[in-house]
Amino acid sequence: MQPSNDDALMEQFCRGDEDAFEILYARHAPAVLAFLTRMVRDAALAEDLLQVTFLSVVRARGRYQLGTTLRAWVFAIAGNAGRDALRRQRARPEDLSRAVPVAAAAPPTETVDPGTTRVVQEALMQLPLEQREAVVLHKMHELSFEEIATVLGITVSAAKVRAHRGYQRLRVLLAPLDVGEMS
Amino acid sequence: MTDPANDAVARARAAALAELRRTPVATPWRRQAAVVVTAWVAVSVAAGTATVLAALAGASDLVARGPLLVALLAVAVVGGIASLSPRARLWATAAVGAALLTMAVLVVSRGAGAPSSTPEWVCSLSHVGIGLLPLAVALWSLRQSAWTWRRALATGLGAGTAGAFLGELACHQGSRHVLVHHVGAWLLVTLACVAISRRLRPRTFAP
Repeated sequence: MQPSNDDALMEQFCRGDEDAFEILYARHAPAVLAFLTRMVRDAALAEDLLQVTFLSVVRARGRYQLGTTLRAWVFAIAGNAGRDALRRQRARPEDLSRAVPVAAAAPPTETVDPGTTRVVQEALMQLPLEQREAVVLHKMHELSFEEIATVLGITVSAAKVRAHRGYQRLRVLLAPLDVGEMS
Repeated sequence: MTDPANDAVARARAAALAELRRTPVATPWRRQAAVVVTAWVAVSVAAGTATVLAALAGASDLVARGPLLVALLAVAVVGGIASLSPRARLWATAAVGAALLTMAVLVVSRGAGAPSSTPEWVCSLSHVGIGLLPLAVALWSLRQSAWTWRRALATGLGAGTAGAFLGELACHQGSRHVLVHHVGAWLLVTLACVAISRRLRPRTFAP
């Protein structure tokens, strides 16, 4: 029987069990791709970073500490890879011109008017990266502030502050739309 | 027609599986940290042994400077752990604090020192030269996780202890010389570690 718990699967994965990796991958990869797409706002780059993230997961699995949340650990790797890519992109501005617009890449949001979704995504993109990460992880991936703190390598209170500031800014940006409560 | 996102997920899965087949068994970070610490301490001990064999230092120097030599090895151990520990913040803070304290004691404890006919820059050059191998090991260790300035700083300070170990045994000049040519060279190795590691692409982006 297959273990369902992430830690048990990680133990098997650390011993080279491919089946355990496949289950973990199927469980986390789609959410990681959605997070990266929202973070870097470039579909092609997000897809490359998904590969970078899971190569890191394989190479660094000896660094994973049982008892920490695997989801937060994988998101932390994705966030680090995304920030590094954005930093290198800023250093080489010609890469920005090749970016695939995020509107085409953004994961679909169910049961919401497409026009509203587009406006919310555009507002999200106007947030500073650190606030955007906190809001996306909290609102769209439903991570706890403890998990967000792990992902971003900050304290829980700093994670709350970043998300709070992001929600405040979003409220201002979305005020004309009257989208409703954001947090 | 296939969904590009699904294609990307499948491609990433295939690449990760291929990597898993290349290295089926995970290497614990503690083992990697042990390699780093062993390399740094071995370079220090080798440099110290060469100094004694070359009669640049005697048993009395070893006894008199023993506590500082042990402190330098301790900085190397803590810096080595900081370079690879998933909980780098705590270890890095300890390594930086210990290194700064050790630097201050190195300078203050030397006093007036003894005059020397050797040009002062020889100490700086030796310090940096002996730090090259530890620096290479430090850069390797920093590629095993996502770059953070705190981790890079602690690792650079750990790598610089080998030169400081040599300087503490082989040189007998005063506090001002130690500050400029020993501590200065130690900081130069640290700065090189931070600057070079920042430019390297990490092998993994794990915390």
